[in-house]
Amino acid sequence: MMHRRYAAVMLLAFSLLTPSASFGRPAARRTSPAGSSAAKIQLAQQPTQQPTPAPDPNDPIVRIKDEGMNRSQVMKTLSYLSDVIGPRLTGSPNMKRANEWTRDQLTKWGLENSHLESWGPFGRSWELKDFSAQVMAPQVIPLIAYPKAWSPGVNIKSGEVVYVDARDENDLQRFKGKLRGKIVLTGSMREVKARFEAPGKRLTEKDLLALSDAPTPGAAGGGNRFLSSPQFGEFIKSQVFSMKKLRFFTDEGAALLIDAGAGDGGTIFVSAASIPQEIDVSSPMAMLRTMFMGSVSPYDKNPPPIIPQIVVAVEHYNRVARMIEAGEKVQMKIDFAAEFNDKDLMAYNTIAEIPGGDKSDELVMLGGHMDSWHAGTGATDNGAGVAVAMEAVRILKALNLKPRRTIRIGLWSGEEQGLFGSQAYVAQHFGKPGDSRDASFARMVEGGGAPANITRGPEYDKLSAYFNLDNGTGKIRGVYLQGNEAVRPLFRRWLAPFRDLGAQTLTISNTGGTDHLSFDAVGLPGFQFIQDQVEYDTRTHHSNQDVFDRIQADDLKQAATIMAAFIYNTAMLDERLPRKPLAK
Amino acid sequence: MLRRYVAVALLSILLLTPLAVFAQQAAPSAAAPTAAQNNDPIDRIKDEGMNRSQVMKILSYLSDVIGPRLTNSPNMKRANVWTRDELTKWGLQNAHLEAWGPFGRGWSLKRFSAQVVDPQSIPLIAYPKAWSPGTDGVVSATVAYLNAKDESELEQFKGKLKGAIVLMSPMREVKARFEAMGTRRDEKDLLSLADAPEPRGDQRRTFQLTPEQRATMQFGAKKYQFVLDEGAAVAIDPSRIGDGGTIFVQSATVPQPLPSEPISPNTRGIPPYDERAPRLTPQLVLAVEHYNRLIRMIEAGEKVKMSVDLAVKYQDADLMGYNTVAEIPGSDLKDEIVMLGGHMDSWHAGTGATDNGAGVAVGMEVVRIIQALGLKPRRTIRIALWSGEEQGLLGSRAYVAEHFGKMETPASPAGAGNGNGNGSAAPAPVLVTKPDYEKLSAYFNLDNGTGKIRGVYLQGNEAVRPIFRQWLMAFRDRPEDKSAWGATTLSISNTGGTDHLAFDAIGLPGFQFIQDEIEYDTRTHHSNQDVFDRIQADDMKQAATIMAAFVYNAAMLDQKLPRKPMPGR
Repeated sequence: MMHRRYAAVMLLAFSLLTPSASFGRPAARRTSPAGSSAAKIQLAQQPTQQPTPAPDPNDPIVRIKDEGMNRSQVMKTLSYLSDVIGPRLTGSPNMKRANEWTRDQLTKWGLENSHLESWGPFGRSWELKDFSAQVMAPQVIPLIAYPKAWSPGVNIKSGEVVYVDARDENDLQRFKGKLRGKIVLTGSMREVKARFEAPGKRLTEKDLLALSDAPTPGAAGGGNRFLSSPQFGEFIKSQVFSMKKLRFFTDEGAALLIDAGAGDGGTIFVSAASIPQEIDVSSPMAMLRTMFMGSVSPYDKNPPPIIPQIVVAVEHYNRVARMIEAGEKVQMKIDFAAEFNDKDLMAYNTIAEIPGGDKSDELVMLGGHMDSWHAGTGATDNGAGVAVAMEAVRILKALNLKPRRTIRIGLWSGEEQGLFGSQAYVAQHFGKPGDSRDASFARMVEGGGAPANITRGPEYDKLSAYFNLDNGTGKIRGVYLQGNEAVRPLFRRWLAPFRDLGAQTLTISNTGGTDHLSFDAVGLPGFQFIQDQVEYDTRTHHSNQDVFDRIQADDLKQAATIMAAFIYNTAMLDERLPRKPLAK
Repeated sequence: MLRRYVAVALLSILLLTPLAVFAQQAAPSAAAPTAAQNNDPIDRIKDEGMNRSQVMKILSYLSDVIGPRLTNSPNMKRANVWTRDELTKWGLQNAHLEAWGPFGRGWSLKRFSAQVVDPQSIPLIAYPKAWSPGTDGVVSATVAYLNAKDESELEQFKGKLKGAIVLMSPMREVKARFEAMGTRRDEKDLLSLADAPEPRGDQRRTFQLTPEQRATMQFGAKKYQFVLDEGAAVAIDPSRIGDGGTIFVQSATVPQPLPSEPISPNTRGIPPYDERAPRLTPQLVLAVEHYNRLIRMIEAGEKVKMSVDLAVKYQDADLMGYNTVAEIPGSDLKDEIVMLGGHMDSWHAGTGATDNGAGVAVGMEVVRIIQALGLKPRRTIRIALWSGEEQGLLGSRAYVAEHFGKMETPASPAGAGNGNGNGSAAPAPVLVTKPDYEKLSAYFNLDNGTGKIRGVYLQGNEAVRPIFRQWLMAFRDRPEDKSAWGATTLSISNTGGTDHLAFDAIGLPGFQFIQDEIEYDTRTHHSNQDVFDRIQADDMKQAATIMAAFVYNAAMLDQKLPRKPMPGR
């Protein structure tokens, strides 16, 4: 899933959009025809619904289940991708290796036309060569820290640390002339709370029921409520001040900027280095867009000067700040080398196919983004989605099922920087939305579907649907219909064989933040599955703990099995999946 | 809290924890007496402790500024001196360092970093084990996975580990955390403590390993001997528990034969802080996710190279350990003593905030409160901040032996000082007392992390129950109190693992409070995350207030607290 700050926005938007009424009295809603236990009741009450017949071993779905659950390769695929290849920052050598490895692996499994498809230019590559950070004086403290992506390196044998505890511009001015060559703690200490709630969770019946009962997107007034909320005002204010601070530190000639990581207990969340941006204040959406998809990026070939930037675990950050406040002179040693490369500014998606039969010119697509942030190994975001999609095509191939339509897998890059890889692919193959940057950004944030004017590409009428998985390691609990009511009966039928695996929920809701939006944005059916959270937001999403050990094997097997069934079913239908009506 | 032999501790906890059937919660507490006179000392203690607390300031200095306090390290010495001076500043008397030992050498970190450099750069979450030797400059070497389940498999690595960085044990599976890491005691927990049976004397003190445990421990020592003999550059273990960046780190392993059985809390081989300790391989603990990833990379055929830079310094000029001791002099009963304290030494990967900066800050805050209020205790109140606790309650045991008495085993006096146990077939030890043995009323200890006080372990001393019950009445939850005190439970149970045992072992009333867990076992106890940010301010204030009331009450009683009957006397 892309950009954490986006995610924060979307999360907030989501929480504002989610009808709180449905959380009111779950007990009273037990008989409502949704949610897994409620669904069981419904099953019992409907005599028209046949009891499950003995499974036919030749039934393709039964075979998919057997292959997916009993001879799964998904963990092996994911271990190689995350452990051996490692983190896959867009444009990096690891990303390129992942592109090539997946291409070759898919070829080995018998897929055809397996190739890399370039898009871009994206920008320069960045690779960490050397990194350690420790306090050297007044005592040695090894630090849990990680450089931000595309930060330049720096070597500091012994640098003084300054704690810039500035809440406004007046505070900031007190540090004028005092930061040259210094290591700067860029913000106030962050309070750490004890964790009386479990970091890992699964969707409860109450959660699933709320999803089932969700209103049709757009009908409730959309995400604009967030944009006019006081939270958004606060959020913008803090972002604007952050930009001012960044400019100040740059002008003052600081040697290294240190942020306190989100997370605690050794878990830190790390993304890209910041660059001072001009913020367009003409509208809230423009503000959002210019803040998160700024006019300059740290991966630009020739960006403005960037101060080296690292993130330090919050406990270490707070301790150093408290030491400084107690009058200690703190010195740090930083060894940080990073290699930039601008020889090839293009980035790549991996694409491969299982050719279809009588409808081989039509397409069913599936995929997920393969790029990741760099502090972990991108196991849950989104090695999981890549491994599940690869496993889905492996299952179909291993069973030698002959789909009517061509099945095409797309493993994207540039997702974390703004769905770039999938957007470029969609633009090239299917079509381009023809609206303003703000409007298209708004749709991306809100998952709001297509504008009226679309420049159609050659395959626009050939695609049945795209299925995406990008919400971590949790098993599939259902599907976001993305406002497409017409697919509900089909999906309901397709989910029936997976009742025992916990995937029953269909929500009309949109979900955002990942590559199905690139399809949705031009009016093509693009779907993302509902997944259990497990530890996604609390521990792994863009953190140093997004690693293979966070992966739940049984969940991924289930997800690959269901994904394979959906792909196969879509490929076998007489018709393509129905599409949403385009905007007027 | 110490944890020398994890298995021993674990099992003794199992043996000690009452498995009572949980019944309905007892009737709600009776309405407390309204004793809100301004001059009531307990009300004044509450006011000072809850409204003008210094406990967080003390603890921040101790943990953030002074830092981790490994026994005999320079930080430990600084903590001794700082606490002595701070206590003096508050008006305590006779604040001084009291030497015990010899303990052994100190150890401090001079430089540390560890990262994978090939086939890609991976910064690692790692920490050296205490008293590990350094690497003598940067070591860049191949990482080898010592994948051996028994000695014959070990032999296959002969000649292959020279200069290598060795992963010493198999991968450890990491599970998703569907349970909260932080917990407070609920009514069920408290009720089972309240309903606990009378503790039984002996069998918890010694411990018989199963053949499998013995074999595992023996093989562990063999592996360390093997990598030492083979000339490995660094030995790495995964953190035994913890994940997500939290690692638990203690002492370097000294390969040596297992102690003879039964194992008692005194059983000890050559520790790494011993001057005579043999040469060791430099040893690190690595975050489990990094550890597992390296093994999976190696198993996938990658050639992994790591760079480790570990520089340490041993302090062997002064092998003695020190406790900080200070007093508030008593009045009419001033030759009698009430003691309180906690251990100040810690492990080294965090800052020892919960284990046991919390107990130290609470102990100091207690005497500060009493001193600040100008309360005149009848008995002398003495605070002691121990060291060497993590290595076996060494500081408090030495202090108790010096001032109060010790158990001596007639046949082998060299093995005395134990007092905890007479579990083996050795001749029954006898108590040899010092004059102050009759002067001590009680010792109160706090060493279970940051959680507030929920009650007291009576440590088998039924006679103190009515007294403590009465003292706790002041901390019943009342509607007029803003905060819920939540401290009502008295458990006849023993609790172990910390310095009250040094007193209990010779029949002196030594008590440890029942505290909320918070994140003690899951996140902080001996980990790199035992830091100030894990501390719960409100809990610390509550604990200091209640402890101050107990210490004051004990100092004001007409009689010393009753003692348990003491065997061997």
